[in-house]
Amino acid sequence: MIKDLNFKYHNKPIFNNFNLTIKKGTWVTVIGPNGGGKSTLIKIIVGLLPAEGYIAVDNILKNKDNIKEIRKKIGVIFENPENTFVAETVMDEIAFALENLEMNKEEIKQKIMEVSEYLNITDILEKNPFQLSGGQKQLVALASVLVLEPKILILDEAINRVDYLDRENILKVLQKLNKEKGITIINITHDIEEALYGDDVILIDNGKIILNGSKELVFKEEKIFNKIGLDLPFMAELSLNLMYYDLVDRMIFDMDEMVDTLWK
Amino acid sequence: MLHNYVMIGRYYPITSRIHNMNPLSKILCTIIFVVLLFLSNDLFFTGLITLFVILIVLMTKVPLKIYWQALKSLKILIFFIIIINLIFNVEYQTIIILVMRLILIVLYTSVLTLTTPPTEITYGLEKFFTPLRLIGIPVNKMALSLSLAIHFIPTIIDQASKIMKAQTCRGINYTTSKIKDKLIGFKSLLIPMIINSIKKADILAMSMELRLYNITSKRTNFRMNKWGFFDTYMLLVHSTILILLIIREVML
Amino acid sequence: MEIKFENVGYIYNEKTPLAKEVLKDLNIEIKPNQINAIIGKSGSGKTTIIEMINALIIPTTGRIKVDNFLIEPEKRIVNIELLRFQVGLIFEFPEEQFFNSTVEKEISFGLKTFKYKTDEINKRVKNALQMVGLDESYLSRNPHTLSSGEKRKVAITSILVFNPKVIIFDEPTVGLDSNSKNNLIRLIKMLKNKYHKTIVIVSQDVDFLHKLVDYIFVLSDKKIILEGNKYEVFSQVEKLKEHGIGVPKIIEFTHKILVNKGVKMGYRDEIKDLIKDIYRHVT
Repeated sequence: MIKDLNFKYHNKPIFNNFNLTIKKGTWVTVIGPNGGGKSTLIKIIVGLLPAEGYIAVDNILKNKDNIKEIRKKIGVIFENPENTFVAETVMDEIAFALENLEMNKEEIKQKIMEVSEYLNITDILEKNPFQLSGGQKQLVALASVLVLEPKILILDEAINRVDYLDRENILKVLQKLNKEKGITIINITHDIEEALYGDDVILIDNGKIILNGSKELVFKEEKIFNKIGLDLPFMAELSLNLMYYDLVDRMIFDMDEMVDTLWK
Repeated sequence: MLHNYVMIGRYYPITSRIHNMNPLSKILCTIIFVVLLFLSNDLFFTGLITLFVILIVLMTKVPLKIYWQALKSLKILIFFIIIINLIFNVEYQTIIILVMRLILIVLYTSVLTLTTPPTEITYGLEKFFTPLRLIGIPVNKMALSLSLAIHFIPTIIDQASKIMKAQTCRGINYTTSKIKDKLIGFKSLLIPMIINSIKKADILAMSMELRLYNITSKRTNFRMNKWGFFDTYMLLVHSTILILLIIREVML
Repeated sequence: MEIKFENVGYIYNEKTPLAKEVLKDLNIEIKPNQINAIIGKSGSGKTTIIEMINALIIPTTGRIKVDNFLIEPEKRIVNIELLRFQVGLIFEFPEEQFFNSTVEKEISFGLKTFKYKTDEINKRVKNALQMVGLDESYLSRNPHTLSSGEKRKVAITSILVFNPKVIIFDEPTVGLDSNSKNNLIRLIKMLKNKYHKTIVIVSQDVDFLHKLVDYIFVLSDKKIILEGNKYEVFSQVEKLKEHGIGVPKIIEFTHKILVNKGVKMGYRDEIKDLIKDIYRHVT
């Protein structure tokens, strides 16, 4: 659970009396035009940028002294995982975070094996992370933060540059983490279709929350999306149009379900 | 595209006894080797050492083609050495020893660079220079900076190549001989590279910090502290040869 | 303007222990004055192909005909700058190449290097800015202070000033929000319709491509496995999936209707047309 109140940033007030609560265990997709403040928000939450206001992560109020605790609870994956690799092998890369905790080597090894088995990457442990495919790189980046057992995962445009198949794979892994381990997922993206994997959608523009709610509700706001110039996911747009012609009575996001509903 | 990594660090990624050695022991062995090489002043011992080095080269399991490439670049140097020494009427025995020393040093250091990734070499150097910490030199921090820098060399080379290609498409001529255009070409490469590198460094630093990296605190070093039987063995072998040669020198 | 690949092969790091064959026996004929697209998984060699069109790299086997230029292994090309004027190539994240303090300098330095006269330069810069939809007030601004959509436009402008006959875009939509993407679609369509340019786009964003592309080449396993107009190509949903390539959502849905219910409907470009089809079928 994150509770944000009252942010300002530098002299340019990017966030002014900004409030946001994200419930534990939900998958939230954050969308909005470039420059609207999405990445800035992340940096503020993890303490990389200073801001006035209160932030509570998992019921712990953030202050100068507990940054380490807060960071342990939040794992962040960036757009280009190559920029975050520090090691020569996948195994060492995953070990990095645990090394910083002064954990002993046996425990480190065990945790690495746990995470790699969960993500199905045991076969690439000895490889150089730079020589992997885009999707594998992201899995390694994911593993390297999962070892800290975060309660919240933030993805900052992380699935952008990944291939079609790899992308589906990662999204499925994230679903697993969300459903099986109850990890809160915050996915910042330009690809609106990714929102269909999640529960809620938040639209941020110019430092303000324009929309915040379940995907069923948010995607009904066609006018707002048009005004800001954002696309709706295909199935949402289709549903809205079909609802207008009384061919369906609700938002249907799954293609098979839609086909069955239309052709009963 | 990052196969260049192997070319740059010259690290050849396979497994062998030598690859698995602790980098510190490899560095110590290298130093001992260089010393003992200069102590062997006759053909016989140089020959024995050559056999020793060949044995080690074979143990690395790196294709001999690669060692050959390293030696090929010495051709001209060797040629000059021979010519100059012949002019000064140096004994042919000495010439052979001189040339062999050059070849052996290149081979031996190739063994080091081919079997040890740059970051491990940095780790080995860090351990080697540890005593300097006592006089206040921040060895660990320097080692990490160096290690990360080396780590990013291939990425940066890749980046440079991409930028050069893109700028060529926009009208920059990198092969021009005019000074003014050369400067523009230089600027068109340098500025984007610097900006890009700073951005990358920023993201890297963020990611490290978020994974709880703290430059002042202690940390475990996961892989590295393995010192095996083979390490002790090699170190003993090198030291023994060195001691034998020293004794020989002293006795003669 | 002809662009033809004949039995082209390319080996990375040839003659080294890390040699890797990326393309083999490739045959492509780019359709002039059309919007062509090359799609395929990352690492399949798409970037290699486009870098060969303006001779940034040379094929290891085979040859490429670009207008009067012949690009062959181990042959030097005379007047290579002329080739680069004819074929404009815009890389991924082109804004990362900026190195000047004003937009004006950034766009015109290429022309200055090739000794174009000042009047000519100014004329071209004005025209190119107009094409992308930026007004002249941008000329004095620092390119690093612009928004990402604007930066991208400036980068494209710096290629447009050469008035190339062919424009190649490498992953032009990465990092862009919807607004900028739609602007880009408009720009590319205009380049084709109004200025009669030949366009080649390399992209993984199939929904973007579906809105503007005429002809598609599908690259996988070092060669072209499929080509045709967008309907011919995208309708092969299963085959593309096998090769790790997705299809536009609208096509995927229409295909599902066929697979699940056996109802064949035409492949549409826009949802409103699809709705009409569905309405007719269901009522």
